[in-house]
Amino acid sequence: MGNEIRLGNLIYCATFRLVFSIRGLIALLFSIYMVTMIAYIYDRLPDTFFELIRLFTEDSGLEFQWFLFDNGLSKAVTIFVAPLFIFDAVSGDRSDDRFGLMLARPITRTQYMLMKLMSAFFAFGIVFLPIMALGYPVFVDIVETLTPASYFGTILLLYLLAFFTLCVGLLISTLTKNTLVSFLALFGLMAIIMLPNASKYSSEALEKAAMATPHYYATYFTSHAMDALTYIGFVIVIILFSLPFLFLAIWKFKKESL
Amino acid sequence: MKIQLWVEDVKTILLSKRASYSIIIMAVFAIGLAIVVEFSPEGLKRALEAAAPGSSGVFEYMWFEDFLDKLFLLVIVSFGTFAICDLEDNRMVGLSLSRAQTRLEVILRRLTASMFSFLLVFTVGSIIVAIIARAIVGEMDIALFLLHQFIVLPMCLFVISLTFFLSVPLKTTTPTVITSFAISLVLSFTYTFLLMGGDSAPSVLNPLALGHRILMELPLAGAVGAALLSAGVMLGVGTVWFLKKDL
Repeated sequence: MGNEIRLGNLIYCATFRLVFSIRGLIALLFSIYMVTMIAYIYDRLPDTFFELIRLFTEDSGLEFQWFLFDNGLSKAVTIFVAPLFIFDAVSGDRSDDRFGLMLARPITRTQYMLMKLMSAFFAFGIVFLPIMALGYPVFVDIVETLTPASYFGTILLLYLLAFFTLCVGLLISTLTKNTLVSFLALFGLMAIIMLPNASKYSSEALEKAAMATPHYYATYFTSHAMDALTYIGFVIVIILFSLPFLFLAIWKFKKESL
Repeated sequence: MKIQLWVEDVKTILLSKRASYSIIIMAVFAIGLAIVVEFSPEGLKRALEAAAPGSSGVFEYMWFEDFLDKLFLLVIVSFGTFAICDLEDNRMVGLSLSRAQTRLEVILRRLTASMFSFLLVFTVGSIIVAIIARAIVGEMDIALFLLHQFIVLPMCLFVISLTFFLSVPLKTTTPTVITSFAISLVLSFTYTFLLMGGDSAPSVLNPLALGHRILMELPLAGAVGAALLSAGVMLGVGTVWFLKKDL
């Protein structure tokens, strides 16, 4: 019990260190920028753009959700905002020689890794979710068809997509010794994983390739009507995509000679 | 400036993971985008070609719009961190300045070494990308593609200069990289969003829109001049700031 409390405290402290840091500030400003810019630009999009979007969304009134989430935020979250909180989680401690100090505490290596992951997950949520919640009243004014269920439902899927990014980031951070290399490798890998989903409307082959990435399931409801059973299924699918990376990261870290 | 030290710096960068990762990222994205182009329907290809009259083909359109002025920015930023951040991270600032060199010599040496290394890596990467794209996509004017890659260099110089400028107060790699990357991304997204919203052309003052201007055959002189001028100002101010700074 005592150990659990200490781990909880460590997660709490690490979360707030991340939130109140330059990366927390940049993630906050970047999220505000994306939401503001999309709200500003949506009213000014030419009709031809809407016609194009309707080809993807089957004219189902989901044009805004597609524009906000699939076209904008899913990319920004996976290649920039979420990686900010994890890319140097292990490699940063390693290069600063903080390992000894961290592991001198009564926590196991598995707990250390879970602390890193959970603090990044909570810090991302603290920065990202309130901005999105505050954006809702603004967006509703612009888009009459927007419903709370489809908006917040997709945001939760994006939050899970960020969890996937964090798990991949934790693995990469464990494998690398340098923070710059961690960032480059994580960014490059996430951009590659994102590519099939970003191009899925070009052809059926690319759509099939996109189905092998969690991005497809996180953005599915930006072009299809939402139903509860499929939603729950996709939540499970995204988590299942994430777990192997988390297990690999913990396994690698436990085997490491410090 | 001692030439041996400069050569040593260039060697250090070229043998570092940032150089190899840069080329790997360029090559992997060339393969990825070329596959996307290959699988795209003919109608879409023709529409993209018509939308970018100055490009050497659909591949170049996607390369510039999706990769070079967004995803590739982090690669450019990583070269800008060499001048100061690498020294700070390795706690080598004092040691480097204790040699019989002035601060100005040290910073000029490291800055020019990072720019020269970037140029080499970018050139090699661009040639590999052109070969990959030609092999997969087929229809592509390699010479025109490479020419465009070199015209876009002032944008890269701007990003390196911005990173250097930010590294003076921020010192270490992590805050410098995320701040510089965020600013560059915002500049890039801004012109993209404004074009979506109906602007006919990006502002000449936005260096990140240089690639778009090339593809659209818009006048380049003003944009190149603005990019070089802003890069020069940041390099100058950054250098003076570093010289006056209490280390």
